[in-house]
Amino acid sequence: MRTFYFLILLSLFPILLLSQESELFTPEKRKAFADYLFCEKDYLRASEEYEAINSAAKNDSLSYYIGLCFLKMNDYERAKDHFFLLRNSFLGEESRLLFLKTSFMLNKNIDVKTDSVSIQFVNKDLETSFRRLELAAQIKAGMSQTNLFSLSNDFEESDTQILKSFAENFSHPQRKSPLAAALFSAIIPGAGKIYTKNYGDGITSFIVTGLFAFLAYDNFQANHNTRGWIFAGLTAFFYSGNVYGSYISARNYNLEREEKLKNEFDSYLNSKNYFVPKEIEGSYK
Amino acid sequence: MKILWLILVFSFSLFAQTDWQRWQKSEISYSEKIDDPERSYSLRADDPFEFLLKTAAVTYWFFISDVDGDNCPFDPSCSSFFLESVKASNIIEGTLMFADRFTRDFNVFNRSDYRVTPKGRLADPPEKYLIPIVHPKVK
Repeated sequence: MRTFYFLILLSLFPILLLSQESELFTPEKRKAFADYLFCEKDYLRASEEYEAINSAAKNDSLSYYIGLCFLKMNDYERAKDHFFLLRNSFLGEESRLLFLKTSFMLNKNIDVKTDSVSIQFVNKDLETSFRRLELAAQIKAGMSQTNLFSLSNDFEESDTQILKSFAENFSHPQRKSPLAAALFSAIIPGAGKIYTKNYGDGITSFIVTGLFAFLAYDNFQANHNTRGWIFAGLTAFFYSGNVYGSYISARNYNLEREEKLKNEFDSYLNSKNYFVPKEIEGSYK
Repeated sequence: MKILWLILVFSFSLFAQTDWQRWQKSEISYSEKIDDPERSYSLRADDPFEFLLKTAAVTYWFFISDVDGDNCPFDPSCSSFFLESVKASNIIEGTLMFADRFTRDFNVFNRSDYRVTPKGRLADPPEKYLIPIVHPKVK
């Protein structure tokens, strides 16, 4: 029996020793694990792993992958910093392009950004991607279609028409004039809100202001002057509030449309994966 | 004694495996974080005019609003909106903003353009209604 226990102990101790001996956190293993997380699209944890290895020993390709992780997570501010630091490394071309892409996604001015990095590309794919990026930035900045000569050269035929319609919408947005909205509401209460397509608010304003105006008129007619003045005051309160609200409503309408158009454009471009050839975004892994 | 030895050895081997806990699933919330402060009944104010406004609002809350129930569909509620809009702009602009909000509160037709807060109210902060020319910081 004693021999039996001795044998059990003998078989368990080597297991414990082996489990202590195997180094789980060697840089190679962590890199392999980070690559696995990246492939599994767990970019948050992949970036943490890459950063842990990178803090021990600086490495350009690790920094590049950290930047890619942030880019994939739409954390453009942090991605931009990583790509900017790599602009002169052996991954310089790709990093410069991705730096410009992140700047574009952050709605920053690409023209200013191109001054801070070289825009010469040896790789033809990157060159094309950069031209597409430049054209997209021009479309977003509201440049008219006539200036977009090379649209059909750099983009596929099927996308050219869609991009042209985006260019038209950016250069000639369907805006509502805040002053016109305020004026409409000053003439007919609620008309400015209906002009900005807030139909419910417009009708409500008309009914509320009209009702109090009628009550004021009716009380003055019946010689109830105190009540008449109270209702006249309420009419003035809702009338002026409606004129003010119509002005703001038109302003908010314009802002919402602009935001919506930008979002549609960004998601269209993202769905097409333009600007960056797939192999450098790491999707080949 | 021998059993104790065995338990000791097994417990060691179990602890040696607990490293996986570092990678356990974390609870991530994707919901938008919104400041949703409760009503402040404090009468502390920076100037006498604000004190008067706050007194009126707190009186209304205490004697009418709280008794009447939680009815306003907006966040902040109309009375809080008035206080905040006067603080963000001035008494004239704040009153105009309040008049507009009050009319929108009457709207029974459709209120589809508002973001809904986690508490189920319609988010409608006064900053959305400031005139950009008067307040340059507003977009």
